[in-house]
Amino acid sequence: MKDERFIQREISWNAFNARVMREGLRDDLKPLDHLKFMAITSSNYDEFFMVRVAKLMRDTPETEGQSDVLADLLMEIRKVVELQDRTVTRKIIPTLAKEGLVILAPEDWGTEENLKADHIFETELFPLSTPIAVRKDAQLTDLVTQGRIYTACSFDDDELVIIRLPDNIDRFRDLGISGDKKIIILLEDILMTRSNKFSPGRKMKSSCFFRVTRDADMTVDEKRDEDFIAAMEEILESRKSSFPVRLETRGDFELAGQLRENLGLPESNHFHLISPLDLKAFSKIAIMPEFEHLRTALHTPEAAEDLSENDDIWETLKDRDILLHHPYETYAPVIRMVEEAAEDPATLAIKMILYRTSGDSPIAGALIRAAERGVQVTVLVELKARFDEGANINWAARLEKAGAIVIYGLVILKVHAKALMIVRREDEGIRRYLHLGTGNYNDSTAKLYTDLGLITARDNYTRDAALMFNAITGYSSDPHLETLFMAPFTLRREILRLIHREEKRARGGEEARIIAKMNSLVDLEIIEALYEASDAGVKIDLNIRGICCLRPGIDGLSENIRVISIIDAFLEHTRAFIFHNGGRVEVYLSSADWMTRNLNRRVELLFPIADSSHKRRIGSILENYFRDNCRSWELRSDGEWDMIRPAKGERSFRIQEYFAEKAAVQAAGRMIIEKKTLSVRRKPSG
Amino acid sequence: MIVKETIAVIDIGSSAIRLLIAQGGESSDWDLLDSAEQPLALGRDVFRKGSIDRRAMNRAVEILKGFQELMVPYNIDRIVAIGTSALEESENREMFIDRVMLQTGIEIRVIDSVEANQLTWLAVREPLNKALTGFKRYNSLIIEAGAGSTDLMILKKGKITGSHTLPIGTLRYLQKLDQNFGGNIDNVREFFRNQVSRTVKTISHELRLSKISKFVAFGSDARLMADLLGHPVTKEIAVISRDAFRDFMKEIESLSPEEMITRLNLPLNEAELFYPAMLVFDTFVESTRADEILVPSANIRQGLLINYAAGRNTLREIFRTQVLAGSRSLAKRFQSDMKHAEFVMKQAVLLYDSLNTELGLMGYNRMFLEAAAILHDIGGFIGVTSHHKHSQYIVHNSDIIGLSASDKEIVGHIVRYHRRAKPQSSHSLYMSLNRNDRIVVQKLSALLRVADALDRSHTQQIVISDLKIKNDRLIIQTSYPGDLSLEELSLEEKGDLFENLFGLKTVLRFDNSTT
Repeated sequence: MKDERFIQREISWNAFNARVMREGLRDDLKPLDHLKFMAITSSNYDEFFMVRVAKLMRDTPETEGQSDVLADLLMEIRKVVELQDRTVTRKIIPTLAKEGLVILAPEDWGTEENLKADHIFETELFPLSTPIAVRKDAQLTDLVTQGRIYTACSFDDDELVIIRLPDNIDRFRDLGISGDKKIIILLEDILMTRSNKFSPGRKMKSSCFFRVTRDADMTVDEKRDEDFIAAMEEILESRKSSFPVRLETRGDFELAGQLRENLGLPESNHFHLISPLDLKAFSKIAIMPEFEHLRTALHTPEAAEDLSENDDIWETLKDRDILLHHPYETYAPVIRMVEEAAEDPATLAIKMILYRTSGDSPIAGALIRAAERGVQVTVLVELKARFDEGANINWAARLEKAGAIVIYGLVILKVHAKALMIVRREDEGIRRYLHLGTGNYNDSTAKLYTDLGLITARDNYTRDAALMFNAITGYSSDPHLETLFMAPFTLRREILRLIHREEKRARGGEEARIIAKMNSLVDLEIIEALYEASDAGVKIDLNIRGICCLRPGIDGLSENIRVISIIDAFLEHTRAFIFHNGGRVEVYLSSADWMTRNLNRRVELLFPIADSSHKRRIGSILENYFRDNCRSWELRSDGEWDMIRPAKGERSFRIQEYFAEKAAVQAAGRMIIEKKTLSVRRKPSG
Repeated sequence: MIVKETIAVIDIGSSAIRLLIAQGGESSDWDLLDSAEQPLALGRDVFRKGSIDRRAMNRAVEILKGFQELMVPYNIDRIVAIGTSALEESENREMFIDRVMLQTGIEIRVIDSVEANQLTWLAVREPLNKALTGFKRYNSLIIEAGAGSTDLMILKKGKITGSHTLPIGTLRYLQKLDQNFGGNIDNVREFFRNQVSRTVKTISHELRLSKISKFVAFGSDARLMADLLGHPVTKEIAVISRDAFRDFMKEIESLSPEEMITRLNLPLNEAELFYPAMLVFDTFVESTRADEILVPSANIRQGLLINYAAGRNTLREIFRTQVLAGSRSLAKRFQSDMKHAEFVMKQAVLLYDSLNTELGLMGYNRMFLEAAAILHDIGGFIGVTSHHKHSQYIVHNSDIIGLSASDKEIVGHIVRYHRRAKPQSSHSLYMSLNRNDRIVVQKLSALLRVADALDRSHTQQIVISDLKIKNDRLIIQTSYPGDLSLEELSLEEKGDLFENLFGLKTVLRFDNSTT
């Protein structure tokens, strides 16, 4: 059953993938930027197939064939993927070659390249590879690992041999500079061109590359599994052998077809490509250090407006809150908080939720040092962070060894809230300091994702945060929060209440407005509430990067709702909401998208902003997004997205550039002010 | 630098164990630093089988160990752990307390429903006055529908006039559901409704419920109800209109606990007890003339526990007036000679105050002496010969507002020893008191014996004009010029305990300096 009032979720997700790809085709980007966007698109599709397509396939019994949604979706995907495929091969790789970065195809290899390829094959590939003969009745499904590139060779006697490309050696082989060019050849090309050496004396009929994507959306039976870590490791194992959802091939088309049949996949799930497989890995080339001129320089984070390097964080927080706008402003204050707390004898405890944290991050090191010093460190490591489980398990063990209390997530619920609390004993008694954010504690992504963070020592915030921590670390069951709202308990209700309140005000003839920014809007109950609010006359501006199931601009349903999406160099990641509330504006930040799974099956936080200057600042941030006419898309009521570009004579405005410049001007301005205070050295008297 | 104290309060209730960590001290208010709560249905065991089973004990220890881990960084100065109704009623509570002590080092003190009621009243008094101008002018009912019992306090124009514990408990109801009705929710609700309304009918007249115009509902179920239906009047008090509550009762009548969880967003562990608690409120509200229900917030309970932990003795002092009033009304009911009683009290207190250093007792003990002095002769109602024993029996079995069960034990013993035999180790009831309480009983009954002896004639003539300690004698001076021989004889007989305890012989003397 299809409800026309909503946009189908997977179709909308695919539209996002398409927008990313389209942004990657822009003429005003440099060649390596193009390549980066293609890599991102490829990575997006991997996840999309592993999770959503897999789910749709699972939901449809085999006897019934493909559902309409699935068929539509696969057709839409094909359009995007084909465009991506052609662009990479026909445009990006040739342009890069012209600029001196040559990814050389085997047919263009000269003597020198072939000699090097021989050497790599003999010394690395041959010893590391294990060809597998696939018998007639064998199931390919049982033999191939998810996401890895294979070479398939078919011989005269119809025997099929597959060889997995080793992934522990470099895929991109830099053959050095020849003339003014850098030559790169691909490991899989070396393997393919020399694969007959594995079967000497036999004649190869045809060959191709292939890559299989599998269902990854598996859940641990948490009630059964006593040892959650063991269960999680089991999942990582089983993910290697779950059912296939996509086949990508390159090379001989007939052989590719045989592989597809063996895997039991319909044609719609088979993508026969002309560009290299697994483009995601090409992000490595996109960031190669020698080719700065082939990519747009990313803005580097500036000092924060609310806290300069010399400010004492704890003292500052006694007077006011600190708002951080990443990546325009540095993430350093958050790291500093943890690092200073780790060394400071006043620190009594550090509590933190780690989700998708890089293992070698300074935060990790600081937590370990603090635990070793005897500070009570309590860390919730979310093992269910999709695709990062491996990294997280390793992490947890290191912390535990240092003496920290490590909690491995909660049964059923995934902990997605981002919170850090430091408890200190000061002269005036025990005080607590809290960081709440919209982004993960990951110093690498903090340079690439836009996020907002709040550091505060306000009692009502720290008290609620303590309760939240007690609940998720198992000390307590009932977090009765007053200032913060926590999913799966009160967050949904609060959002609905805030929307209804605007609706009520609008019906009473007052001005009513909602501005909301998030990654995805999927939850039907909330969308219904927004429809009702729109119907009452509430002006609703939504800034939604990814999936949006709400249909805007339909008379009698959503004529007061506008939806935009910003796709630019930084990944839009902020979740922030503004409610007009009859002039007493309320501003909230959150870790949660308005998606059913986030509101019902995750631990998430929604928190208000108390400081009025911060409210204004976030208000202006959110308003300004709607001025973007360079990297903005607007959702039409038919579900299609229009690219917004400056009209004739209109000045262009690009929001990410605007924030970057603003942060730079702000930081420069303060540097001058700070330099006016001269520090004078004098000999100590006496 | 202000040195702040950090204290932890652990509250072991019928359905959960809670922890509060607060910092503060004499110079500042108490700030709540941290809190935690874990469900544990001790009440379920106790109200069904009379005792706590091994699994629940283990779980309690486990929860408390978790709390201790949580307390570590706060460097807690003092931990106060209290147990309420379920623990109070449990047959094996000593074993439970001992297990917890051995495994966690936490010492649990059991407080009875009277003391719990007092705490409640203390906590809600100010917030109610603030929320409702003239609250003191109304007759009100404070009610808590607990797991094991329903606690009521009746206030007449702001003063407590009655405090009752009724055997209607939400968990007890649940037991019925399991045992007698095989889970048929409609039948058991009907049964419970009848039971509650029967109980309310019986007491409605005595408590004059129809005169009640302010209805205050306390406890976690009431707070859930306020979250759903209430409007805040102040930060600490929410109000629900009686009509809204009526509609709500109709709405939830047919909902199963599961439906309540999804529709009303109730926490899992509270959903089962929610409806019975609402039923209790509903039945009571309908027999009053209140047009709204006032619900104190969760902070209030927290404040109450923290204040209790910070200084529980102040509680008794606050209730001194109530205790005195309660004692007087009891004495009147048993047709005591009130003039004699008041006179003895006055003189006993005078002795107490003058001998403060010799007594070495905490201030609140004075209240026990006052109560005992007022009540010492009430047993005469039953029979004169052993009236001291009858007095003890009556005190033991009466409700005296402001006195907890253990307080009544003390008062009862002072009354018991106001004449005849002195306390001795062959008196088993006396020996069942703890050492401290025995000392209090000895010292205070010694004073009471002296004061009573001085009014042997029941004429209130021998007024103490001065007290002096000379060598090993306590010289009691009076300006009464008449014959002192009866009192002197009586003092000879009853001053023995005083002499033993303080090493002072009591001597009565005419003092002509004031005449």
